[in-house]
Amino acid sequence: MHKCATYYSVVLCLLLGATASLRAGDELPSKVLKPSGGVESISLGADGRWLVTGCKEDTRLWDLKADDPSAKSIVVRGSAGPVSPDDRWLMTAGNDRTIRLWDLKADDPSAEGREVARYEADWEPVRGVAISPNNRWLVTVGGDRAHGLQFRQPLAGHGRG
Amino acid sequence: MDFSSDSRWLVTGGDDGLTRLYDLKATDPGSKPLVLGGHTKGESVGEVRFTPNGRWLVTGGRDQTARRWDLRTIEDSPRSEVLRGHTSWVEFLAVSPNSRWLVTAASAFGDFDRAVRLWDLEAVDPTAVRAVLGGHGGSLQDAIFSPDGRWLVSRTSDKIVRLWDLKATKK
Repeated sequence: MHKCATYYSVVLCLLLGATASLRAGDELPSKVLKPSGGVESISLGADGRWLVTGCKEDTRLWDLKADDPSAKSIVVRGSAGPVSPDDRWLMTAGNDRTIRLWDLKADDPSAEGREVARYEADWEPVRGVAISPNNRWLVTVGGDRAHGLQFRQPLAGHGRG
Repeated sequence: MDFSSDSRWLVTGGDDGLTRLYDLKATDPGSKPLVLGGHTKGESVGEVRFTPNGRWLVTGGRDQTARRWDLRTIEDSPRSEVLRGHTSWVEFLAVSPNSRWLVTAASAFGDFDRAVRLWDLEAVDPTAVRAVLGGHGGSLQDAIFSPDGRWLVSRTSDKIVRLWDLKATKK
């Protein structure tokens, strides 16, 4: 019995020691972003201002330049797709069969989502979207098809391209 | 695998515990890689990453360690500093755009080491963990640094996103 107790206290000490060494370093303060449906993807827009979180049809933008970015979020329509290679445009695909672009350089990107494509009635829901590195093609896949669209950035003259 | 930002090196991590650097400026880059031992032999090196500034190579392995390699001396005397603390396979590495911060996370398999660790690659002692990012209820899926150096954004398998204030790290 006595031997056993010593053994356990040694194990306990070792465990406590291990825990203490795990805790070395600073504890960093953190803020939690927890929209009700959770988050399954994150991406960052141009200049690092807008953080995009997405989960199914819930796409939100959080202002990383705000004092407390977790305090509020802006909702945009559709499910979050990729951000364009120049980090400017966020693409979403909506249940209303439209693909929209949102300007991540704007003060309020949700103010005006620009519809860039409307898919045909026989399309399956969009499952994946990608933008080519040269900003030229926007490709969507849904059902058994892939669609390539010429990717023309809206608002020519307001930015690159 | 990863390419260095100057396209000089390609790095691969092997299941044999060895890290191989291929000199892409050589006539036949595939023939004679520089072999880096250090991680435990036979324990796979799953994560390899160059820092954007071309100064460091960082690796993470099944031997529960991450390592920092100095690219300036790597050809003559390859040597690494060992970043210890994880209690499971290191299977996630991310480096900040300014090349200063390294984030490591361990595999959630068969273990409860969900703490994400932050290391300062430019510190006098890079092997001293700078911060332990605790409270995660799942394994790390994504880590993004904001370009202004203020935030580290983590996304975990429990669908929660956390913003970590890097300004709060002590100098």
